[in-house]
Amino acid sequence: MAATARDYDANEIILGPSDLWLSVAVPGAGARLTVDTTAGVHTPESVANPSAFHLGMTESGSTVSYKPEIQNFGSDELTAPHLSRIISESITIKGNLLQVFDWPLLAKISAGGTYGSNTNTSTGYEELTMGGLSALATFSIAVIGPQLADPTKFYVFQLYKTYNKAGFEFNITRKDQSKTPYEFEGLAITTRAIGDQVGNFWKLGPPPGTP
Amino acid sequence: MPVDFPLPLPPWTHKALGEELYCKLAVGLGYFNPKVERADYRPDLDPTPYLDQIKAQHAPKKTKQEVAN
Repeated sequence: MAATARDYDANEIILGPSDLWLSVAVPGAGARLTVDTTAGVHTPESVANPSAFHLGMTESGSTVSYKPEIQNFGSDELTAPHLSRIISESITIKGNLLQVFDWPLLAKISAGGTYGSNTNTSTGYEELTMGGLSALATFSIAVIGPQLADPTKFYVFQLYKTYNKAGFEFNITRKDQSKTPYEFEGLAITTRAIGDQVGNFWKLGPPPGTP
Repeated sequence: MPVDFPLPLPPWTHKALGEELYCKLAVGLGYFNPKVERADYRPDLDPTPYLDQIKAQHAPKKTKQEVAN
């Protein structure tokens, strides 16, 4: 008889902070987001992700959520289900962002908003007009952060096609800083391979135990 | 190479490529098929796996003298 080793490994914990990026590039089949690691900071590489921009500060980071809805099938003869199947999957990245005084960001997170601007130095403005649209603009996002065991390496939680279903809602008060919830819901890209249609959660580095 | 045309220089954005070339790249290189997506879903395509091919295809051609040397 021999014992099986326990696995208490603090390096397998994720400790933030991380950064959330919007409008990152979609990788090809079998590929992953290209990340730049200049000066130990992990960001979307700019040639590969020319449209990427940063969500800015958050109140307490991002929450990554994967929730499958599983249907069990039973029979009159058995007391337990004899078959289970995934019926649907909900994959979201949510949190509270602080920088609400950023009009392009507000436009991005408002499903039905339209950004406008005027660059005149004396009469210029930025605006977000709302109301009347029914089409939903979608884009790709990614959370990138350093690994605990080796901060020169990183992890990525990417959703290929998403929108912010939380809209925005923030207080304007002298007692607290502005913040608004965000919740990006992953949608399937039907023409990508089955199993890789919604997103990719990955880390740099081989599996533990690789010689 | 999985497509029968020269790969363009980055950036591979919809704005830089135009609809036709964007769709050819997205389908030909296996990103996804934009034609079955809404017309405003045109994310950047990450060209990184093809950078060596792009560099080779767009390298300046050697002059006759350079070839002779």
